[in-house]
Amino acid sequence: MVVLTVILIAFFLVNTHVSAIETSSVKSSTASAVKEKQEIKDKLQNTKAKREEFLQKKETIQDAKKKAIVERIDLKIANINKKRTDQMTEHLKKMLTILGKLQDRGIDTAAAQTAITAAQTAVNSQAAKEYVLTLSTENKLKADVGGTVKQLEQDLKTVNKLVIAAKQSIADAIKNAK
Amino acid sequence: MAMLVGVTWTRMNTAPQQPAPEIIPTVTVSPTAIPVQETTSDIEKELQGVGVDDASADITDLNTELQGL
Repeated sequence: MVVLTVILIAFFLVNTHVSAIETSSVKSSTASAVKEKQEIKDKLQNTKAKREEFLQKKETIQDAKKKAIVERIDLKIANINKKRTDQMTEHLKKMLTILGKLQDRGIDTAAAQTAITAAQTAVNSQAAKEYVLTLSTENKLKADVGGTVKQLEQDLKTVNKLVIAAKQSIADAIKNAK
Repeated sequence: MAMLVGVTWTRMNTAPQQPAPEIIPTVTVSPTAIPVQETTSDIEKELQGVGVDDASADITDLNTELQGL
């Protein structure tokens, strides 16, 4: 009887402890998700505010020709980012198909798989980016807009390097299997 | 009456016999039905066909636009 009571108390204590750990873990992950959601919300509001500022500044440009160029570049930047990230996603899909064929042949593709996943994550992140032109004064339009163009170029190059690395890692997997 | 029966009987027996159409069994072979083993070299070639070109052409276009500012 005493032994049974001790076992029951021990079971109760262990169960309570596990439950407390689980509750703590759930609270932690919920807090993390809430924080992440808030960060996304802040980022979106920030981008929205920046875009509104850009639209207002754009309207103050006196030179109609320059104003039209700024509008065109603003549109082209968004289109180029979409086009390039869509293309990179397509390339990565093809790479995954090739990877599957190699796996069917028992070729070790772990490194290539990691490289493709890293590249796809970067591409997704790049696709979600919104480039907003920051305009100061009319005589600085070239420098202001040029800065954003440079940023887009740099970002796309960085992501493209990861796509190239993914392709190279598949080539290495084939080479190693030969 | 007997003559009529006779004529009918003759016609029935002398009518040209149509040869039964010859049934030629046809077998359709789909190209995919024959498995073709893809070699590692084929896969390598497929990989080479995957483009990883950069955005330089698009950036050049933007830089050309910038010259107008």
